[in-house]
This record gives sequence, structure tokens and C-alpha cells, in this order.
Amino acid sequence: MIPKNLTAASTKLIILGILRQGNSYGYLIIKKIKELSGGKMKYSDGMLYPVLHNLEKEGLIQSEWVMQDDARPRKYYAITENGKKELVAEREHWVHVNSVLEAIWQLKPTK
Amino acid sequence: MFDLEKEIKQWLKSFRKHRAFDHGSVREMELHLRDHIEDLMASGHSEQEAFKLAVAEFGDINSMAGEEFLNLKRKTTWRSVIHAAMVKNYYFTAIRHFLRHRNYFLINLSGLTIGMACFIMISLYVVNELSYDRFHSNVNNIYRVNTKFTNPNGAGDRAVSHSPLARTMLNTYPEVESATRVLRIGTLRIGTIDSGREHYSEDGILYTDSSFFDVFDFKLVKGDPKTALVKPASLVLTETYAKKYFGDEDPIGKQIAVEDDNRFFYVVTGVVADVPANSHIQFDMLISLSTSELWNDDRWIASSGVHTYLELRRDADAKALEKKMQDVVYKYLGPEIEHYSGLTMAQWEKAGGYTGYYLIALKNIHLYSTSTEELEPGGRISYLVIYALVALIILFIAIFNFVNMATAQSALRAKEVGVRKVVGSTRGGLVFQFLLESVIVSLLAAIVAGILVTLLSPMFTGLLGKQLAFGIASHYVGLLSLLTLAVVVGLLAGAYPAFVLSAILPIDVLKGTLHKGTRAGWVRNFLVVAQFTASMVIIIGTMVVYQQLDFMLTRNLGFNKDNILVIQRPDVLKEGQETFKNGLLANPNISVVAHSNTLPGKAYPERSYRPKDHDESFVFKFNHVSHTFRDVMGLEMVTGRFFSKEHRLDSNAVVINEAAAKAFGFENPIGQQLTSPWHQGEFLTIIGVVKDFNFESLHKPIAPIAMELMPENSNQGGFITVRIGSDENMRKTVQYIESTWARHSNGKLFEAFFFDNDYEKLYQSEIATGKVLVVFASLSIFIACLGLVALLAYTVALRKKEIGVRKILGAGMGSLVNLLSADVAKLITIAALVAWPLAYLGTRYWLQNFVDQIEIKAWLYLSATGVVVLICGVAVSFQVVKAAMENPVHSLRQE
Repeated sequence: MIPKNLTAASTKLIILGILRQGNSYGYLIIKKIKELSGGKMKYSDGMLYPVLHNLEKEGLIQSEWVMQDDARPRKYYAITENGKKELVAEREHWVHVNSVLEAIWQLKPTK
Repeated sequence: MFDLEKEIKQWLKSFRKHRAFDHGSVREMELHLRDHIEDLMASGHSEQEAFKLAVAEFGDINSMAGEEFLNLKRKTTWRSVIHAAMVKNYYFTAIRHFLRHRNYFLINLSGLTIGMACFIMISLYVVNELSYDRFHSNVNNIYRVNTKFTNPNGAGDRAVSHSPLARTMLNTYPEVESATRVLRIGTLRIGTIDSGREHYSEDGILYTDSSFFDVFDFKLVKGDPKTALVKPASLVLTETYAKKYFGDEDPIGKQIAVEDDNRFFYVVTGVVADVPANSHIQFDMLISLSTSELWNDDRWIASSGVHTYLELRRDADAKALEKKMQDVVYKYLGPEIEHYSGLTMAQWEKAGGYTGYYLIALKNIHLYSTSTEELEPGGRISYLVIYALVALIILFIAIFNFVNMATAQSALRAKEVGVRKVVGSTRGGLVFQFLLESVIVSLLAAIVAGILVTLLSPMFTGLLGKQLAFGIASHYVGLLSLLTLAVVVGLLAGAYPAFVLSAILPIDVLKGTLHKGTRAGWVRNFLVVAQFTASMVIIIGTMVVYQQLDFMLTRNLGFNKDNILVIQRPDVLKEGQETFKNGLLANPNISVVAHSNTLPGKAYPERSYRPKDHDESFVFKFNHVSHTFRDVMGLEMVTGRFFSKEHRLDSNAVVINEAAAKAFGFENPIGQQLTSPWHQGEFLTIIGVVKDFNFESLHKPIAPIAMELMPENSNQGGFITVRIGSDENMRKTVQYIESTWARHSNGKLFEAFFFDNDYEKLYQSEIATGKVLVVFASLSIFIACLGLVALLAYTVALRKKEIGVRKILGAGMGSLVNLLSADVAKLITIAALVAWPLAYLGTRYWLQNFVDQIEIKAWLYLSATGVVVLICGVAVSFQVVKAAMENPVHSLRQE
């Protein structure tokens, strides 16, 4: 199980990443995350929404209610241009962290 | 049976508890849950299981609400509440609302305007008083040396010190950066070469050292501050006076003649900017102190008292210097004290003699000085506190008016609020809207108030009896504070109405269940009570102040100060005093003329007396008086008689007052014999006791005093007092006195004043406070009534139909008036009950300033309350009667 704080730190990136694929709504997003992490990332579903609303407030995503005749109305979220930029930046950070970690795995214990 | 819909509803309720979720979010959660349940059921769970699992996976709602709330907080920034487009909308809504309810708006506006105008005026005065002497850049390092002394001639605290002190301080203590002296000697007759024999009497003259401009920041417009006052007979004029004497000519180098000094012409060496009104040093011209050697020799005790100002170095410790400088007393004053008293310093001190210096900070001189011989009469910090309180009270009365009207009218705005909420306005947005509205009103009020203050300030300064150094528009800070005041008042006045109005629920509006005009009724009642309590306290306070002043300045004086002309410096008449006095008496309008060394309200010397066969001496205040003094002053005898021409032995007689008789402990003081060091062994006989009169400050208890007969034909100084018969012909009589003086004085300057004017100057703060209080007390009650009338007019309008129906059903005029005014009467009664103890405590506190206090009688409270009730009654009855008289057809026809 992945620790909580690590989950929290990566949520923003994960959501932006998922939305880059295409617009989606809350329930689908969380389903997708669970799928991708193979259940390793444990969320309480509810905690997703404050993050979504915060991202929207920061202008990284935007939302829209979509009414359909045959299904429930859904609040769809879409990534904005700013969001895309942010994603690139975030990604770089993570790549950077990753490369540091990689380097650390290579280190041999010195005697 | 498991009911999914019901469970979901229940679950959603826990969201609604949290303000963080708006309607949209809750809907979003609901859909999430439904999607999840659907999926779970599809994978084979029962409805109930699916619900439980979905809720469990959704997690804790509280912690989620916490997160969301953080979002919300981050979200409620200015920008999200206030959209530019909305501000415009708010603005126009406000204007439209004002125009639609023009009358209420105008009442609101005028109340607020008057309140603010009062507040601004009083604040201007208070700030002015607090700003005294602070325009000097070194104000924090400048001190004046005051003298405290006790000696056989009396004890005192003088604003002046010995003339060589400034020089000595500068040379002895390195802490002293520079020192300057200021000497005021009264009136001089001054003329220019061109004016020939025409002379002006000038009393705004100060003699100063050349270092005057080093210590103080008075700005020299022309001339060199370093050298202007160095040479003897140098003279610096203020701009106004330069104009007065020389018009548009360049005054530098011009000559000026001073009558009492015909050694040489004085030369104008500089022009100084007019002295700001908030300076305790006021002058029209400065003359160099080097002009007379008398002021610059090494004599200490025999020197004229000068005001000594020291500018200390930035790092100097004034307290330490104050301690150190007592050495000066022993080193320089000591030998002179020994010389004059014939005692050694130790003996002198043992006998109770004392002289010491202390420093008073320049910025404290105006408000805190307790010394005599100040350059200008000072202010009093305790009165400033009263002023500030009154200003705040009036402002709040006006603010409460606004709050009351705005909340009472909430029904008018209810529909708007409901609609705004339905189309998505947040509470923050509504709060902002109503705050904006009240700020607009208060800005308008502030602008009008600012104009009013500027227009009315001459009246206000007339009331105060003094000039202000600056007005509201004389500096950008003034305008800035006006703006701040407007915004603060707007926010204060708008906060509660905004809170009430924004809380209106759309559902109530739409259902029509909103109670018109009754919402928050108790707050409104509370505010009305507060207003009238404050008004009543101010009114009672004013009445007490007035009574006390009247008591002090007329009834309790013990002498009659009216219609007395006082002539100064009779010593210049030399031997001609008696003929001058007789010359005056030739005028039928002059009843008595007296001569005395000093007068009530002035300084008194002291003499010690020892009753025969006692070994205890008594030190009393002392006055030399002529035998007519009692008639001029209107003193009352308790026993015995006053000095009289018929008794030749009166040169060895004493008249004392009751306090002195009490101090002696004589049962029958008449005929008792005393000795006094001034009469070397001769016995003095007490011939009379006068009723105690207030010969010193009214703030002090009446001290014992002894009076002796002024030797005939003495050419002592002091004062000649002339009692003038009647107010008519006053001008003529004074002219007569002046011309008589001119005949006998060899053309010496005639210096005279009316005793009552001069005496009342001592109590200028009290008298001004009294007048100011009267004006503002009336304004406060006016504003409060304005609010009450508006409130009543509004409720009457709301109850129009009710009144109509009642009338149709047979209600009489009386019962209708009763119905409408019962509430008001109740509120005013409560206000009176609250106001009485408050006023009692407040006035008691103020009266502690005085020794002889009036008794506060019950009728005073009753009449103050009566006044308020009467004014309210008049204001209210108009509305009520109008409503009761109205034809019910008009109010009922509408539907």
C-alpha cells in the first residue's frame, strides 16, 4: 500500500494526467486511478472532490454540467491550457525526483 | 425494508450541514454515489450492500468538508466575490434604491452628515490641542526649566526661571546643545519714523536670545536666523506685523521707535512667518534680549523671570540632567539666598525655604503644565477627554440611526435579496453589496460634512474662543482622514444591516413569510435606547456644567466682579495717584475707586502673623488694600468693620477672612492683637472678618488671607479698581477715565481691562466647555430625534392598513395615538432609567475638579428627561397624529 502523503502529493499530477486523455467526471476519474494503480493507491472517494474543486479554482481545469436525455447529468472536468503547462512542469519535477531515486538505487554501500 | 432513496437523502443531509458545500457540489456527490452503487449492484451486490460499500469508500465527510472549506477560504478572495460588472450593478441598485425612498434616504444622509460634521469639528479641535508645539523638528529634545519654590513670600510653581540660568546650563552641562530665553514684559508703545507721534500699543512682544531660532523652528522669511537677534535693539516682525507697519515695503533695516526706551531706534532685522496657532509661544514681534544689560548681568534672584528653553543632545538623559542641575541652585543661587535672607543655606532650608528647578517637555507644556506665568493659557487634558467622548457619542448616535433605518427597511430589500440569491449570489457578495451601499451614503455624508465644517469653523472657533492651526482641507492628511472616516463609518453603519439583509432566506421571501419590519426588532430597540441614553447623559452633563459654572463665576465668588475697570501700573502716576482718583470720582457714573496690591485671581504674596502671647506663627496670603476696596469688590463683613478713613489707627489694623479666623482659632477675633515681622514689634489689631471669598483659583479651597491698609499716598504698583455705576454710558465712562489718566500720567500708556473679562479668562476652558457642550448636546438630541422620526414614519407606513381597519372598526384618535407611541414611550423610559445613574457618575467625576460643588438635585434629572421627552413628543406626535387622522379610505382602497 502506498503511504497517504505520497498519494496526496501525486494526486494533482494524476488527475491532470487523466484529464489530458479526455474530459471526464468525478466517478470515472477515481475509477481510472484505482484501475491504473491496481488498487495500490487507496483513496477515500470523497477526498477527490476537494482536489478537483481546488484545481478548478486555480484555473488548471474547468468544469461543465452535461445533461443527457438518457443518462444522469454529469459534471465534466476538462484540462485547460494552463493545466497542460502545469502538467509538463509537474512531470519534470517528478522525472527529476525519479532520476535522483534511480541514482540512489545505483549506489553501493561503501565499507 | 431498505429504502435506497431515503438512505441517500439521509447521507446527503450530512453534507448540507457543512457550509463548504454548495448545491452543485452536493449534487455532484449524489451522482457519484449513485454511479458507484449502480456499478456495485451490477457486479452482484444487493442494494443495501452496494450502498454501504459505496458510502464506506467515499470516506469521512467531515474531513472532506474540512478540505473543501480550505478551498472555500482560498476562494473567497476579493476577486471571486466582487466582479467588476457586479460592482456596477450594486452601485446602480444603490442609487435606484436611494431615489425610490428619497425621504428616508435624505433623513439618513442628513443625520449622518450632522453627526460626522460634529465629529470632525471636535476632532479637529482635539487634534489641534494635541499637536501643540509639535511642529518644531527637535520637539522631543526641547525642555523648559520651571521653578518650584517655597519662601516667606509664598510657595509656587513658576514657568519662569532665573535669567543667568540658560547661560549657566549651556556652559556647565555638555548635554545642553543650545539654550534660549524668552521674556515677556507686557505692552509697549511702538511707532515708526513715518508715523510721527502716532504709536501703537503692542502686547505681542517677546524678548529673546539670538539662539531662539536654533532651538525653535519659527521660520525666518527674511533675514539671517543666526544674526537677526544678536545686536541690541534688533527687532523681528511677523509677516502680518511687517505688513501692518511697512505695507509692501521691504521692512529690513527700517527703524522703529519704542516709547519707553528713547536711547535709540530699534532696527528690523528679520521677518518671521506668522506663528502657528498651535504654538504655546505666541508673538507678533521679537526683540533681542541683548537690548538691556539688566537682562544679561549675573544677578539671579533680582533678575526678571524669563522662560528658559533648553535643547538637549539627542542622546541626553533629561531625568539625569534634572537631578544634576540642582547643583546650580547651591552654587549660584545659594550665595544670593544667604545674602538676601541673612541665613546660611542650611538654616534657610531648615526654615522651610526651597528652590528647585525641573524640566517640562516642550510637547507637554500646553496640556499638562501646572505652572503660573505661562506665556499663554494652557489647555487641559481632562477636557479633551470629555470632548473626545462627546464626539464619539454623537457619531455613534448618527451611526445607530443609519443601522436602525436600514434594518427596519429590510423588508424593502427582501425581494431583491431573494432573487439575487436564487440566481446565484453568494452571501459574501450580498454583504459586499450592502456595505458598498452604506459606504456610498457615508462618503456623500462626509463630503457634505467636510463642506459644512469648513463653512462653520469660524462659528466653532468663536465658541471655543481660540483659533485652530489647521482645518480639514489645509493638509492632504486632513482629506485622507476624512476619506478614512467615511469608509470606517460606512462599514460600521453597514455591517449589521448587511449581516441581517444577507441572511434573508429566499424561501421566506417567496412564501411571503418574512415578517415585515419586525426582524431584529430588539437590536433596533436596543440602539434607540442607547441613543437616547447618550443624549440624556449629555444633556444632564451640560446642565450640571452650566450650573457649576454659574455657581462658581457669580454666586459663590464672594465678590462682585462685574462693572469693574482695572487700571494697571498706577505707579507710573508717581505722586499723582490721589488726585487721579479724585479726578475719577468727579464722574457721576463712577461710584468708588480703590487701590490694591493684587486682585482676586492673581498671585498673592504671603505674610506671617503671630497672635500676642502665642508662640505659633501663621502664614497667610496677603493684600494691601485701600479703605474703599471692600466697596469696589462688594465684600461682605461677618463681624467688625473694614478699614475706614475716620480711624487714624487703621494703619496698624488687619482685616482677615473667615478661614484665617478659623486658623487662628479665635472665638472672637475682633480686637485680638498680632505681631508680624513686617511691623517690627508693633502690634496689629484685628478689626474685622470678611466672609470668605474666592481670591485665588476656584479649583483650590479658600485659603486664609490677611489685608492691611495701603498707606495713603503710596505710589505702590498693583491695581486701581474703578466701580462703574451702570452699563449705559460704559463707553463714555471709560473714555473719561482714559482722558483723566492722560492728564495725570504725563502721557504714559493707559493699560486697563474689565475685571470680569480678565477673571473669566482664568476659566476659559470651563466656559468654552460649557458652551461647546450646549451646542453639541442639542445636536445630539436632534440627530437622535431625526432617527426616531424616520423610524416611526416607516412603521406607521407599514401599519397603514392596520390603522385604517382599526379606524373603521371604531378606534378613536386617542387609542390610535396611544397604539403608535406606546413603544416609543417605553423605550424612552428605559433610556431615562439607564441615563440617570450614568449621568450621576459622570458628573460626580467632573465635579471633583472643583472645591465648591453644586448639589445635583433631582429636578435636574427630571427636567433633562422632560426636555428629551418633550422634544421626542413633538417630533413623534406629528407623525402619529397625521397617521391617526388619515382617512382610512386612502389606505384601504389599494386592493
